[in-house]
Amino acid sequence: MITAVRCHLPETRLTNDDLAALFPEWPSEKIYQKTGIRERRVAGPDETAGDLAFHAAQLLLEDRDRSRIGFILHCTQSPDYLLPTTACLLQNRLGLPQRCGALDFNLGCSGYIYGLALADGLLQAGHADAVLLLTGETYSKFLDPKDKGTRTIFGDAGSATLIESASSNRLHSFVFGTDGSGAEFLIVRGSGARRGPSAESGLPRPLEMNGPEVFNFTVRVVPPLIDQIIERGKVELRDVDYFVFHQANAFMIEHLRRRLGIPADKFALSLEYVGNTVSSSIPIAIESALANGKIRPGMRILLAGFGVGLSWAGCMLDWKG
Amino acid sequence: MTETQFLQRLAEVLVADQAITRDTPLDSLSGWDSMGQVALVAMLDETLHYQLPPGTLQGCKRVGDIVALVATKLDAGDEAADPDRRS
Repeated sequence: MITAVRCHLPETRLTNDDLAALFPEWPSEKIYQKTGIRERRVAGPDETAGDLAFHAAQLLLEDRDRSRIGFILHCTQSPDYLLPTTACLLQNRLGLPQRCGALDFNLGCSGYIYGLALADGLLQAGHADAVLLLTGETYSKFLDPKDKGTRTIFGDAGSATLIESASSNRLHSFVFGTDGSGAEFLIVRGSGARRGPSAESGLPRPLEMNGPEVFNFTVRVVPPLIDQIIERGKVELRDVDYFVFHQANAFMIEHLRRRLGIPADKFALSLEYVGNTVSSSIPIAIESALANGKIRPGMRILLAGFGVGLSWAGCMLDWKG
Repeated sequence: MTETQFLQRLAEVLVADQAITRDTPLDSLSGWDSMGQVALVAMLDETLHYQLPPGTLQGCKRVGDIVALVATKLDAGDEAADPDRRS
């Protein structure tokens, strides 16, 4: 079902040296050792998540027939406006047909998998033959400039994935999970109707992250999630050729890899120069693995996303090429 | 793993520059920050296969609060009685 994946990053780089200059107690090399991240990209003041998704979609659709797209699904937690839906703006900017359905959905680190499942459902139901799944996120706009923890981790990015009924790259064995009791572990309280934007800045911020609790959550839910996916897919862990997890931070996902007994050469690590790009992290890892031959025709790939919500999901992707 | 061994691991993870006991306040340890807590979550999962119930860390004020959480996972006896034991 997945035909192609393309991603787009904003120009501005925030390096570990930049951060170490702001927060001398965290030297550049310590940041790398603790997170596996050397730099992250940051959207400009006038650059939105919708812009990042737009540029990724332009790359994807460059040589493709846009009139075939029947649906746009856009995953974002930093929409251009509360209304209208950014996906509607993107339909127009991308020159997609007016008979195209379009919607945004609000999820973070698990969002790409939910998007794949929604696209799969639309195709299976016959509502569309081709779905454009976009992700766009600019968490940088929510961060407290003084919060070294979140500024170290998050990077901005956008992605575009074409999902078509004609493709033989099959998605299957979806598993989902939700635990809203952990909502406060990753939250922008000053955002929606409950509290509204910051009175001081007028901006939705700051993003609050309880890193240890979020990690504790992944340690609890990810191993059973992987077990459920491979059980549903009727495969063994060793039969999976490549694993693409949400790239939260290298320390955390390397811990999960070791606990699950996944060999390092079968495990995507693609956050070194982009950071944690939330819903774009899995497509960035897939694009990179396709480019460097880590994903090849005939491979069984396991995808898993987990984080803000708290929300998690995973599936299998049989890559035929 | 005995409690003595566990305290040694905890001291490594939380970068304690002196020996720690159950009474040591966590706030007195330089490593008791978000990165140190992440390392603690990893250590508990890796060595004891123990996952903390959500929200537990905020309630931990002293080293003993962490020891109490994992007490049932620790071996009885001390290091001298079983020097080579690894969990």
